[in-house]
Amino acid sequence: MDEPLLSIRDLCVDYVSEAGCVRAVDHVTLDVSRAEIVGVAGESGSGKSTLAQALLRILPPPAIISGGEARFEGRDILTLSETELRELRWRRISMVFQSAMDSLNPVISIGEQIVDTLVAHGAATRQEARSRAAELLEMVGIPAPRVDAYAHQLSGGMRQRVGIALALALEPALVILDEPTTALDVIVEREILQQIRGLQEKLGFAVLFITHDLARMLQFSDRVAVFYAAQLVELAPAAELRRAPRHPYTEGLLRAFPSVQSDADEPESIPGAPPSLLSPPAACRFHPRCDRVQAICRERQPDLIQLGPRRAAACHLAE
Amino acid sequence: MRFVLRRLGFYLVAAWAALTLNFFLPRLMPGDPASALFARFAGRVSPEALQALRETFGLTDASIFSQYVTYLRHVLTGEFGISVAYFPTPVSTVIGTGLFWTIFLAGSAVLVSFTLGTLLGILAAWRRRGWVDTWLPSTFVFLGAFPYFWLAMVALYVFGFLLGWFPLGHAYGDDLAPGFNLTFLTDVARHAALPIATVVIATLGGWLLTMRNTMIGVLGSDYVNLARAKGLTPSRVVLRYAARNALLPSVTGFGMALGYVLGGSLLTEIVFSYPGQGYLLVQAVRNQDYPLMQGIFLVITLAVLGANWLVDLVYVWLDPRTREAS
Ligand SMILES: Nc1ncnc2c1ncn2[C@@H]1O[C@H](COP(=O)(O)OP(=O)(O)OP(=O)(O)O)[C@@H](O)[C@H]1O
Ligand SMILES: [Mg+2]
Repeated sequence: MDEPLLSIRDLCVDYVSEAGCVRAVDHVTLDVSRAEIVGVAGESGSGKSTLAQALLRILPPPAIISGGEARFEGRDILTLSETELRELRWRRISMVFQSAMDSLNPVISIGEQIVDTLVAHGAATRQEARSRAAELLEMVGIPAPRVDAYAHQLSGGMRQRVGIALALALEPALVILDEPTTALDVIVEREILQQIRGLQEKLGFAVLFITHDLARMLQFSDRVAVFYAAQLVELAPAAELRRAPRHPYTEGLLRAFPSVQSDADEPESIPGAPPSLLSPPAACRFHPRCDRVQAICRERQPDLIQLGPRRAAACHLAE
Repeated sequence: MRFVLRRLGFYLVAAWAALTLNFFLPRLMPGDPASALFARFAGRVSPEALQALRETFGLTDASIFSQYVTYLRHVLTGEFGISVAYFPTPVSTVIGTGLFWTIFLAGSAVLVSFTLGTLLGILAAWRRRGWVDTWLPSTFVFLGAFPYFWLAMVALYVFGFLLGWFPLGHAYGDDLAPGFNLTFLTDVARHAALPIATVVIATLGGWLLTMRNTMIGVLGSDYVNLARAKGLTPSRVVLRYAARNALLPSVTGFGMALGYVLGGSLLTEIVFSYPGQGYLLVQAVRNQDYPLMQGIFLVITLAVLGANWLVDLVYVWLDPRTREAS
C-alpha cells in the first residue's frame, strides 16, 4: 500500500494557562488518503478545531504542539521552517474556517482576498488573478460581478461559499472543512455540501470534514473518526460505523441523532456532561457516562485497538 | 457617497450653530465690546472715527436681527473688522498669519506623533513582549503624565537656554526676511523643533497604546488567522490584514486630536512665544480685542469641523462598512 497523504501520529496539543495545562488533542493517530473524505465528529470542546489548526500550524499563542508527528506528502509538518510552511499553506493544505462570519476581512473586498492568495503563491499576476477570482466565485455559485463585494454585503451562506472558493483557489491536496455549515439553514447546508462533494469528485482533493452533526457526516464521509475529550475513540468507514459502532460513545451519538437510525423512535442524549479537559476522568475518559462500565474501565485507559483493516476503537469492551 | 454628503450637511448645520453662538455670546456678556472699545480709545480718536469703527464691527443701533444678518454677511466674506490689539490691521490679516503658523506647528506635531505612535504600536503588538513592547509604552505614558507646561519649560531651559542648541522663541530669526529659500526654511525648522518635539513626546504614548491594544485584538481575530493560513508573509498579514482594521479607532481619535491641536496649542505657543493662533488669543484677551477673539473662535471652530469632515472621508475610504450605513 502506498503512503497516505496525511499521517498523524501521537499528536498532542496543549493550551498552557495559569489555570493549568489543557491537553486539547491527546495522542491522536489518524491517516487520510488521497481524495478521501474523513469526517471528524465529537462534542463541542473535544478538540476538533485545535487539531485542524495544528495541521496548518496556525494555533494562537497559548497553544503549543507538545508532541507527535504529522507527516504530509512525506514531510513532517511540525518540523517545517517558516518559509517551508508558507509554501505548504494553502498550496497543499487549505481550510474553511468554523466562523465564516468572522474569517473574511471586513475592509478588503472578497475578490481582493482571493487575489492576494493567488499572487502570494505566484500562481498568477494581479490581472490574471482577478478573473481567476471571478471564476472561483462562479464555481461556488456566486455571480462574478460580486468580486468587488465586501463580507458585510453577503449573506451567511454566501460568505461560507466564498470561504470554500478561497480554499480551492490553489487546488490543494487536502481541504480542511471546520464545521462549514453550522450557521446555515438545512436547505443551504445540503446545497453547499453537495457542491463540495461535486467539486471534490472533479478536483480530487482529500477532505478532513469536521462537524458535530453525525447524520450529515455519515452521508458525506468515506471514513469517520470519533473524538471524545481530546482523544480519538473510534475510527471506521461510515457505513460500518453506522451499522455496528464499537464504542459506547459512538453508540450514544448515533442514538442522539434519530435520522441516522430510523428505527429509533426518540432521540436519546447521552447522560452527563462532557468532561473538563482541565481534569479529565482517570482511566477511560468516558466511563462516568458509560452505561456498560466495567471495573477495568476505572483502572486502565484503553488503547486504540485495530479491529480490522480499516477499523479501530479505544474501548475495553471491543477487545 | 450619500454618507459623505450627509456628513457634510451635518457639518454645515454645526458650523451655522457655531456662527450663531459666536454672534450672541459677546452680546450677552457684561461689558459689551462697544464700551470696551470706547474706553480704550477715549480721547484719542474722534467721535466720527469711532462711529465708523463701530459700524465696521457691526455694533450699530440697528435691531439684533439686522445685526445678525450683517454679521453673517461679513463672516462669509471673511470680514471680521479691525483688530484692537493690532490696530489698525484687519482681523482677517492678523488671523491669517497666526493660523498659518499654528497649522504648521500643531499640524506637523500631531502628524508626527500620530504616525510615529501608530507605527510603534503596530510594532509593539507584532513583536509582543519584545523590546519595543516592553519599554516604549511605559516610557511614553510616564512622559505624557507630566504637565505639558512643565515639560515644555524644562525642554526650553535645557536645550534652548543651557545648551543653546535651539532658539528660545518665535517662528524664525528677527534678522531674516521670510522667503522660500534654504536659509529661511532651515531657520523655521530650527525654531519649530523644540515645540514639535515636546508635543510629540507628550502625546505619542496615547497613540502607541491605542494602536497596540486594538492591534492585539485584531491579530487574534479569525480573519487574521485565515490570512496567516493562506501562506502570506508575516509583514503582509500584519500590515494589510490587521493594521488597516486596527487603525479605525485611531483615525476617529485623530479627528478629535486635530481639534485639540488648533485650540489647544495655546500652551506650546505661549512657552515658546510662537506667533500662532493661541498666542494671538492671549493678546486678544489681554487687550479686550473682541473682534480678534471672535475671529479666532470662529476660525478654530470651522477648522475643527473641517478637519473632522476630512477624517470622515478617510474613514469612509478605510472602512467599506460605513459607505452604506443608514
Ligand atoms: N485559548 C484557549 N485557552 C485555553 N483553552 C482553550 C483555548 N482554546 C480552546 N481551548 C480548549 O481546548 C478545547 C478544544 O477546543 P476546540 O476549539 O478545538 O474544540 P472543538 O472541538 O472545535 O469545539 P466546537 O465544536 O465547539 O468548535 C476546549 O475544551 C477548550 O476549552
Ligand atoms: Mg471547533
